[in-house]
Amino acid sequence: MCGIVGYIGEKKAYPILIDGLLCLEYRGYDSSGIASLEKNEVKVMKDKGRVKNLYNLNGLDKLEGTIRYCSHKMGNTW
Amino acid sequence: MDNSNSFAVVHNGIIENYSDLRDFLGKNGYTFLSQTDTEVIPNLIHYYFSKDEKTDDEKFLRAVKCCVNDLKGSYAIEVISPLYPDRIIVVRKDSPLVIGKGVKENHIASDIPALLKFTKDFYLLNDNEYAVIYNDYIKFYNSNLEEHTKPVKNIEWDASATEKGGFEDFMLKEIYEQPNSIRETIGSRFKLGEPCSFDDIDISKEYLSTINKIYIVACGTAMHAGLVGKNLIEKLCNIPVCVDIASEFRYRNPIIDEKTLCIYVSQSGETADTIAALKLSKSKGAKTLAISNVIGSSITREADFCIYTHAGPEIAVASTKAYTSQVVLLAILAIYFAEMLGSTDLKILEDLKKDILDLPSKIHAILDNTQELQDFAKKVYTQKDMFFLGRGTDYNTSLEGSLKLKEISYIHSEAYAAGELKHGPIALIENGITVISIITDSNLVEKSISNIQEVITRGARTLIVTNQNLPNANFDFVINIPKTNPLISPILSVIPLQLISYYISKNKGLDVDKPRNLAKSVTVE
Repeated sequence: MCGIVGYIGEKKAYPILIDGLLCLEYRGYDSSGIASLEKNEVKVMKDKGRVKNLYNLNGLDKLEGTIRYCSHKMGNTW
Repeated sequence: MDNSNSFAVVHNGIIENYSDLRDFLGKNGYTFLSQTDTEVIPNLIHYYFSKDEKTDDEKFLRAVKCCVNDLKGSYAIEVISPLYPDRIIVVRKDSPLVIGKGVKENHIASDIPALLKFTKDFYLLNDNEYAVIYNDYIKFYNSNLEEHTKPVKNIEWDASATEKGGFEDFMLKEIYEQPNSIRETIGSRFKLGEPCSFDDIDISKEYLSTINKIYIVACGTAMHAGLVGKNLIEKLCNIPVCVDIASEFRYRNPIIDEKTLCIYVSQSGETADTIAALKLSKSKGAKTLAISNVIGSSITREADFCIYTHAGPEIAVASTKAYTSQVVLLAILAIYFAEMLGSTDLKILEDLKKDILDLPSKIHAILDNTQELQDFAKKVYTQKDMFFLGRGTDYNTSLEGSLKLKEISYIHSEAYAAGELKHGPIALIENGITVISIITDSNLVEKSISNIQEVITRGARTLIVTNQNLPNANFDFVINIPKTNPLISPILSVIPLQLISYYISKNKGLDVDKPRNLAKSVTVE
């Protein structure tokens, strides 16, 4: 009852991923998050509630990495 | 993320043995931040990675593979690591995952519609098949890590199909798409004057003649489509059909042998209980036929035969166009079987085909005139309970109408076979309660009317969906729909019920497309 998306490529990726998550949101919509590869470390950001809540997370727009993936799930199973 | 921040995992599915794995990792010094099953995966990858003394390029993949070997349950997993910043490793079992091929980039998602705006070239992973995805190429491996090539699959769905296209909600758009989605379902499967043909399945007359029982197994709305299919197959093919709920079917040791044909219906093709039920009947020697809307979905890969509804992506959680397309496909399948078996007069089948071909324009006629349905919704949206009544196949439609109402308006509702009313439910009828009745079979008009009179006498407000000339009675609302063969009348009579649920939900100010607690494809058991 949830979905995952991923992106690897040269573009700035978090808008692509949030877009993908919004497309998948109908599969379940209690929480969501993003993991991004940033200069040799993985940054994880996540929040409860609808995917659009991700937009409000501090520092989201600072994610520069081009490999990211996201997940969202029903329930608090993060 | 694992303890060393070396591996990050996203996971869709359920790891059934995560508690054992957690204990195992705990004994090896790993700690956990959450109670989730997902968290064992990156730590188990780290465990195997640090045990591997080699330093070659495939070390990352080997560690993922060793971890996956230990997992029981269902999973679609993506793994990234700062140690290997050029790649994403993905693997799946019983949970969906597709890879979209781009130019100097690649996408991954749980389903195809999420990626249609980027690409139409997809790779559909098999169970326990690994993909290592780089910017500009992808390597595929089997469960023994032997590399192989994989053909790309071109998906014809239109990206605009995943947008609302001027409608307020996906559900309304999908309701209005039904004339077209039904045309797509019919496709080239039949023309008047010619026998039905399915390019996608090869069922012989010899095999079909040995079949003495058919099961149709599904969940939710798809199960309601199966009930209509039962009527069609029994009437046209003279083979007894049982319809069952997948989560019940699989736990009650159903009587199945090689003379049983089992039909499984799932829009997403990922419904966990339906897939498990399919595997069960295969193990008992029956042939299986899957009906799905999603090309390459799990159920279509498990089944012996598979046919697609081709209804296009359905995004709203509450199913509308997938239901009508499932019923249409079951109708065509019943005709196809009947032609092969010679079990029904060809003239009758030809007339039914004509009626199927006329469905799109008749649905248009219903969709062009919704004012009365909107007025009705305005009057009743504050109600706490509603009832749906029908006889024969109209009872099947009642069940679906009642489910739609529950799903998106949160109004408690029950559907009853009208004749059952006196055996209990009528005790619930009180002044002001709303009862919706469906009457499309001329043989059952009088009986149905007398049932409705009983609830009116007890103060119920009534809405009747009908294609019959009803005697002038004291109904509050009468929705007239076009006539058709009673075997396929649910395809028309369900449309006003879909719209009623939609308008009631809108009146209540609810999120029609994403009702609380529900998810589109139920991939857990």
